[in-house]
Amino acid sequence: MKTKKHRNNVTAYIFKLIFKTAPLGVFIYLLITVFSSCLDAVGAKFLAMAIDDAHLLRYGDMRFFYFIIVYGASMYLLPQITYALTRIVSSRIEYKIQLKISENTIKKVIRLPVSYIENNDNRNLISQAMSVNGGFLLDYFYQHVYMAYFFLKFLFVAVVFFQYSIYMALLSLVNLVITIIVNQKLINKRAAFQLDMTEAERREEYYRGLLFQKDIVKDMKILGVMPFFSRLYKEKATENFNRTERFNFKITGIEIIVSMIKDLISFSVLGFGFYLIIKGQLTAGGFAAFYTASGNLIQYFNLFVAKIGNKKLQYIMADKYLTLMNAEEETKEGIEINAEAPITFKDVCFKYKEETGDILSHIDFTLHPGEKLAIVGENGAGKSTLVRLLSGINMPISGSLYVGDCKISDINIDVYRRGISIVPQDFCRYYLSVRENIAFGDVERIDDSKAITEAAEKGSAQNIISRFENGLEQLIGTQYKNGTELSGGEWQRLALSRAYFRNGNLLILDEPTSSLDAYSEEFIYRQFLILSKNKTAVFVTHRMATARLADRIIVLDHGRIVEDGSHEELISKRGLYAELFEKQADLYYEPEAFVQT
Amino acid sequence: MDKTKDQNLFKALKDKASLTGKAYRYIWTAYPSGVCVIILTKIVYGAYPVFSAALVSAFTDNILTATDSSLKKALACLVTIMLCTLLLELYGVFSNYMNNKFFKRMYVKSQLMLSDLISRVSSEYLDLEAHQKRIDYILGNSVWSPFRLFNITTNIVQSVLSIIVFFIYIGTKNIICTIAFAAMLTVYVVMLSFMGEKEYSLNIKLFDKERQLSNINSIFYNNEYAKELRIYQYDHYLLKRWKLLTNELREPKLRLAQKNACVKSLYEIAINSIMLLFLISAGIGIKAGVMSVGIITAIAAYLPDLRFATSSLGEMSRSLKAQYSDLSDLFEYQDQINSENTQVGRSLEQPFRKEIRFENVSFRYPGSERDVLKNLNLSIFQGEKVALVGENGAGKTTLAYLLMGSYMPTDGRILIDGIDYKDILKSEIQKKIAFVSQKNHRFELSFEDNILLGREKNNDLDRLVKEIDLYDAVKKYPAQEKELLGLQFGKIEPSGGEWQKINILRCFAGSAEIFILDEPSANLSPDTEQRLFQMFFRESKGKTAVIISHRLGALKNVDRILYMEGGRICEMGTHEELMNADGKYATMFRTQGQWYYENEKAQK
Repeated sequence: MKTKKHRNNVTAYIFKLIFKTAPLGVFIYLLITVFSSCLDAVGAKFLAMAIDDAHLLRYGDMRFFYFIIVYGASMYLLPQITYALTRIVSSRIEYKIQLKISENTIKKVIRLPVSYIENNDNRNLISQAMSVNGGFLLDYFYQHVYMAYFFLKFLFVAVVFFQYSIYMALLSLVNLVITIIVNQKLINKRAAFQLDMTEAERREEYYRGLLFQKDIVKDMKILGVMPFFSRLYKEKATENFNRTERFNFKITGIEIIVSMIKDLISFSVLGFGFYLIIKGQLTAGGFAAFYTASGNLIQYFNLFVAKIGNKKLQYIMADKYLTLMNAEEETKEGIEINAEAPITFKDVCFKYKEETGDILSHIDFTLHPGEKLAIVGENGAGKSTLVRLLSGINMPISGSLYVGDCKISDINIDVYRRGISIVPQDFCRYYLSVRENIAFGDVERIDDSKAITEAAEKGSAQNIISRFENGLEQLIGTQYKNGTELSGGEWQRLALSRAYFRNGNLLILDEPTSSLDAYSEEFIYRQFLILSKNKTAVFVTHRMATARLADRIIVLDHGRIVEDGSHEELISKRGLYAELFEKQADLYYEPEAFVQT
Repeated sequence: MDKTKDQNLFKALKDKASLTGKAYRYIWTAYPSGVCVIILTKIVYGAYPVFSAALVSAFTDNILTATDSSLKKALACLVTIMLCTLLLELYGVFSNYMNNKFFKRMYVKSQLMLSDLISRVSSEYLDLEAHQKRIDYILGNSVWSPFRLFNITTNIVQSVLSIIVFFIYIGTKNIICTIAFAAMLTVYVVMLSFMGEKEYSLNIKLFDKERQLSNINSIFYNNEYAKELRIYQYDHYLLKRWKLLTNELREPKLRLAQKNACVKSLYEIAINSIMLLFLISAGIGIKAGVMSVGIITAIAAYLPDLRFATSSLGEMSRSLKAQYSDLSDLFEYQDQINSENTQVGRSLEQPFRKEIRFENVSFRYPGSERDVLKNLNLSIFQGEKVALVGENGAGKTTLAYLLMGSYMPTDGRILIDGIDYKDILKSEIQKKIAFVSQKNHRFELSFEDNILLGREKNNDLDRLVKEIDLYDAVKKYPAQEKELLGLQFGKIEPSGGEWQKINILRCFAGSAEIFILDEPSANLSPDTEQRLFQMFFRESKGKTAVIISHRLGALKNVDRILYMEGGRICEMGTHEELMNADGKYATMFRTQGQWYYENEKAQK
């Protein structure tokens, strides 16, 4: 909780959101709540009257029956009816709010820059905001309503109490106030403990998750280390269990003391009532009214506490949601320019995190339209990061990146990205239909089966389609009844087809063939050369034989460009590239092979 | 189906009884003292309300009599009520504490139990959609069922006890009301369990959609999709699908919930009217002089509890059906795994001496009609280095899994030193084998844990770390032993290549006799790849190794290359032999090599 003002913002935001999303439902809900808050008091009053008049029955006075009917109706019938109504209304409200919140979160997350969501803290924020999912916000709202409801209820009951005995009413009030304060304290303690445990519980949940991932189970069984994983989970769970246990034990001790104090007070209320009866200052009916009404209040209060759980946690979660909603999005404005223009890196540096060194340092080069550029280098040299900058996924930390004459920060990034066809190193596997997997490259044309099939041919994925009876409509993934799994190579082909389906001006492939056999690899590079004619093309590769297909090769080493030129230039330069190339070429040196050709 | 249900009513009851027994035994073994405390709690809570109502009634009557002795009695009643309240409250706190403890223990126990089952399922079933779905369902629902069933049944005991005691106390005085009440209660319970069944079957029906929705959600939220989502901008389309699916999921649930709420409240109104009748008939009783005024206070004091008991009885019976179904799901799965995968077989004490032989081995995945391996004959000799090459989908990885005993052949047999795999404990075969999976597994554990995974540290590890060029990377990690890798809990995210090296070291960490490497170098740079293979040949000296790779140039030095196509081995020999034979392997090798030598060829 930062400031008071901030807090008000959360409350105001939630109330506004809920009122806006379901105005009629909320109105009816509040109306019913106000109405039902007086029922307890009415019931108590009429019960008292009924008991006090019961002995008159024998003398033919029938008022008892009217009183008891009003009592029964207000204590049993009407609450049922109002409860049913609120159930119906609130399920509608919940439905609407949940939909709204989930949609808001999704819409927000997909507009956030990648650098934002890849940050660990923000990742936590997102997962916490996701768990809000309407529930926490509604609870926060309901809690305020319940509080008002409880207050009204108490007010009405107090009015009845005061009619019978001021002292007893005051004593009950004291009892209630103490109950509320102590409970609040306990709840806060619980909330603090729960927050404290989040990280440990996430760890436990992670270890538990490992036990049920089929790929992990399948492979780890072979290494014979599954017991290690279950021990990992068991130890963490036991550790958390013991911590919770110690806490609960402490809390239980406090709870026992608290409930004893509470009971002592309510006993003194009852004892005092007894005293008043003997003195003739309180009727038996009045006593019964006290007994039942205060019992009801306490019971309701306990229910309310159980239902609402901890306010602090709700507040924190709602606050997280709000923080996410206020995070800065990628702008949709700016100069509309696509990837057709030359792209120039001027002294660009980049790193993912403050602590680490530069991943890319002082990069200077221009990618000209129509050029075929290969990027080579060791693992961790910064190749994929360069691709990320090039495709507008990350922004330079220092230095500038120009598209044509415009700085990348000034252009409309959506329009720029629309001109890019890319197969990232960690390309995506969509557990949807084959059609969707390919058409996601340009979703506007999702119904154009002919174009999709063509793209599949370009990405050498036509075999995947023809293998299935349903062709393009085949669902991939185990969440479907007839869904199939694909091999790594097959997924890679779908990713390629997706890139070709988009038909962007800038084609980027980041190690597109790492899981493919020699024939597929060859086919894919030949296709790539044909299809990237008249386009700008960039590819990252570990196979120098493919690098030489490019017009120009950039060699990256520890985040710097160490060599830049055509294959022939670099070979004659006898630098890092030449060394790498020859080392690999040696593996395939085959004197007889030349003889045969 | 209804017919058979009728016929087998007795059997169904017997089944339910045996399921209940199993569930209780399951829970009892987890936490006996907890079970005792909870059952006792329910009994006490069941009986207490009526007891206190009787006390309140006596209290009122004595007050109303207002003589000295009656006031003393009233005081005694009051003190008893107070004492009981106090005791009960203290006990409540205690049982609450026990309940929490119980819940958590049960949870951990059931997770471990399931994990144990899953780790015993034979690997070919793990890949099946049906199995995956079953596991998802069990993890999401069935795992809770023993605990829930225990809760429900003990709660029913509590409610029924509370109602029965009440009837005994007051029912004889209000015979008509009692009967009406009992009748309503029965209707109510039947009604609710009917509704519960509907809700349950709706949930089952929507389960597939639920999984689909969570898949789409993961595209929106997971980092791995973030880049493509922003470049390809298919969010509008996917959001439309998301909305459609959400509506399909939520609308029926909402409608059912609202319908249930309506029906339920009608019945609640009816049953509460009967409670009103109780009060009126008590009035009649007082008028006639057969009852005392105290009865009114007793009823007033008890009615909230009765209402609670009846409504919770309904709620409970409503989910009872679902719990039984989930329960049988859980125990059936347990029985099935236990019976299908009982580990019988001999151990394999002597080291691997001679050969692993595949005799006419065919393999197809359960539920599939395509043979992945066809009538395969092959021997792998001790000390040999074998490379498996071929196009994607030729069956290389499947062959590796068979070799490791993960899958059992559909036809034919596999022998190690003359002993059939089927006769040996799987774990015995796997003890001899170390394996690098195609899947680049990443565990968010410390660097050392990631490699050792609980196995004993081998003295060579530090040297290997240096040789595979991970030493600098490791030094980067402060306090290398304890610092967790991955960004979920730690601060360091190794690159894809570094993860692959960790996976390779994991394979060398054990004391295996046979190494199997499935595309260990897909993400490695050529330099590292070469270092890896050098290291690999050195480390596996005198040991047997099978390596699968698409980078043929790196495999020239192995003892034997097997070229696979369409589930068969079509060429076999050393690199030179296969090149001279000028078959499929040679063609593939040249295809990969030609780009290095295109110019040279042109010059010649």
